[in-house]
Amino acid sequence: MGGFLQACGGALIAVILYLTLGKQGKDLGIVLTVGACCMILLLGLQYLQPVMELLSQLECIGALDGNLVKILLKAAGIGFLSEIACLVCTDAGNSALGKALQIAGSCTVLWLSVPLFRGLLELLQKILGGA
Amino acid sequence: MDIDLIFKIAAIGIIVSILNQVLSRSGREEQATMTTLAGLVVVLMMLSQKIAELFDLVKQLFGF
Repeated sequence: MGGFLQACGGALIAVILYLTLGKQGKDLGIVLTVGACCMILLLGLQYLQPVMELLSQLECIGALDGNLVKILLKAAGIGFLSEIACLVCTDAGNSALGKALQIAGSCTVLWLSVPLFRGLLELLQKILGGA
Repeated sequence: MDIDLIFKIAAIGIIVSILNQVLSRSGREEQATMTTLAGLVVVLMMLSQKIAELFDLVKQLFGF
């Protein structure tokens, strides 16, 4: 909980410093935003560690296929990183780059989920009795 | 949270913008541009380590 409060304070300070830099230091202002994002995410993502441990425990209890859960986690990570990078690009005034990054992230998630679709297709073929 | 890094970046930004103003007013546009570029490179060098740390954490958490 203390980490979250630190992140809130850090974000507010970073915004004020960004506004202080103004138009003259706009390029460094974007770098300041990236730095503040990194710091806040490094702080926030540490809270996800116990959640991931719980997920792996649930995976063991439910006897789930480890590869399927891995694909889901990877998709979540790609979505998270591409969203942050896209928002930074948009803030820097280059929304085309951000959109391209989002599309690349979506393509990567689709590529990752090909084994899931193949598994589903095989299951459907088994159920329907097709070749 | 390493708030010092944010303060360092802001300080470099303020110094660079003051130098930029002074050099521009005295007619040394090319030196002003070089100063801005140098500031940007210094800040990026400071930041690249943190970005790598963030990517490592994401890799470790989401199993990349």
